[in-house]
Amino acid sequence: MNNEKKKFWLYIAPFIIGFTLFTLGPMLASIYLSFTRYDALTAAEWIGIGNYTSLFQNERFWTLLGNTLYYVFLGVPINVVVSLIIALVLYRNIPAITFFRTTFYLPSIFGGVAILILWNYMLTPGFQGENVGVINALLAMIGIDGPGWLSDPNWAKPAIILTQLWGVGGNMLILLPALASVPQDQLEAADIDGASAIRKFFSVVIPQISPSLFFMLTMGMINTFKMFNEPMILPGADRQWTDTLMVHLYSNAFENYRMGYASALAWVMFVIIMFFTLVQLALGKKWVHYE
Amino acid sequence: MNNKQIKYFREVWALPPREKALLVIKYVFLIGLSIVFLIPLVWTLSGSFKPSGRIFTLPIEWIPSTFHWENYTNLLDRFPFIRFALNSLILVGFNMVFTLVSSLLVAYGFARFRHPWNQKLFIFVLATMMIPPQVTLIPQFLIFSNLGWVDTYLPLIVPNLFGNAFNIFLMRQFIMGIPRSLDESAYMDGANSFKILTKIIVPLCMPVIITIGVFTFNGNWNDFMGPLIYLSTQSKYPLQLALYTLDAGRQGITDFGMLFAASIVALIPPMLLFVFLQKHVMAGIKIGGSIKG
Repeated sequence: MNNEKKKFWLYIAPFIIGFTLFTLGPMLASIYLSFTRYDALTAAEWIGIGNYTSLFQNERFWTLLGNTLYYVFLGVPINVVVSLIIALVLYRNIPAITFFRTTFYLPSIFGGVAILILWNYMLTPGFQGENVGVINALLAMIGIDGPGWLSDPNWAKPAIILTQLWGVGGNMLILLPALASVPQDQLEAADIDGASAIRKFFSVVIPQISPSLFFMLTMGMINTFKMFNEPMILPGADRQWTDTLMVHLYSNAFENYRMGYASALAWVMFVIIMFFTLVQLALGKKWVHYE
Repeated sequence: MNNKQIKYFREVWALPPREKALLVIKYVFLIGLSIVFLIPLVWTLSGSFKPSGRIFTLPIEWIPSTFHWENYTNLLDRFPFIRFALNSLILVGFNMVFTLVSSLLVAYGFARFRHPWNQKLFIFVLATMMIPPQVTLIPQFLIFSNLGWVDTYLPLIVPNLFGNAFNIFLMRQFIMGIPRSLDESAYMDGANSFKILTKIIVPLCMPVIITIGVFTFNGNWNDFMGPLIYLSTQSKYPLQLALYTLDAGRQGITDFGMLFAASIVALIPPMLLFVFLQKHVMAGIKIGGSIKG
């Protein structure tokens, strides 16, 4: 082995070691665990596909799968569209641009428990003019009788999507440089051809920024499949309205010590995520343009 | 008004009416939306200075008639609040250093050393980003619990010693943009590859190091699930987990004013970091192009 090859292995060694120890090894162990009954105290007992059958027979699993897909397929696209609208207004240099960019970006750095606790209070629906959170108070000012948010089965999931929209600045930050690098000559060429603004947007701008859009949709999807903080800290009055599969996994593994069942759930989630990722990659080939 | 602004206003003045109207609409939209984005912060900040009973009353009192600093002082008296914040900073500090150093080493390996597998392994690194952490969570917990690491910071820190796929990706792309001729002339002067990394690559990589550093800071400062799973002794809690246990409805604390004050304090470090490094963060990240770089 020559010197350069040796150095290549030496420098990437941390990743290889870490991957083996903390990803590959655990993944194999997790496959085994998913076929056992295991409470982390007594020895694991082989039960074949028992965990999988009880998972698919569990009504709660299907409800929480529905919730998770709701956040993934409604929340993520809404987030991307809103960030695109904001970025379109802000990508060119206009007066006070720093103020606006900062204002829209700032909330996205507040990702922890603190901000979700505050959202819980902001969404307090209020009762006969008492105990009104800021959102319904403002809606009342413009004559709208705000919904019950987390205490209303129809509004609990939209409430969580709303809190996530406040963090739309992260996506905006990816779109700003993408929009700024749309070649001016292509836009001018479209102008000469007499293309309308809408036509230009869909045939020039969208293809040019499609790698960024694709990245945001894919990572947004993967991240939303593991959504945990929001349903833990902003639970609906009935937790079944808001909980995700990740919460189900957490409570089974670490509250009830059903490690085998939770491992089976993890693998079912893995298959679901891989399925949608591959679908997205296949669709991406049709609309994403790399230079 | 400086010259640039005057020039801008002249340009705007000369625009046809249709475009002038468009510009007005744009600003109305931006200002309206800014208010919507700022309201949660303003409401919380003002709530943190109010007695609990006055936070949820109508009409909203945007500026409290009297400032109740007690919310903040109570926080320090009733809870080891400074301890929680220090715990958070310890976790954040270790993880920032570890993930930056390890990711940089791996990225340097991929960017600068030829190997027939280089390309394929790099695509593999990218593909690992798609492995959902759910499938490794439970066995990782079992490994750490067998090592006796539960209720210590080790499970939250040690995995950061091995690089992070997304950071490796960003850093590799950045290093590929640095001309190889710089490395080669240093090799001529007798420097080894590690010296080139520390003396040439790292200083030139500062923009991407700062960007990733800020993301790592925020990610770890805001981490909730990791500490929730691994820590059980309250004095070891980082701030976010401590807040979760203080939250009303869980431990019966109904002092909303104090909870608001605690949340405001938890928002300050990411905010400070942003203020100081704004220029670097707002430069944004570029996604796309080919991975061949």
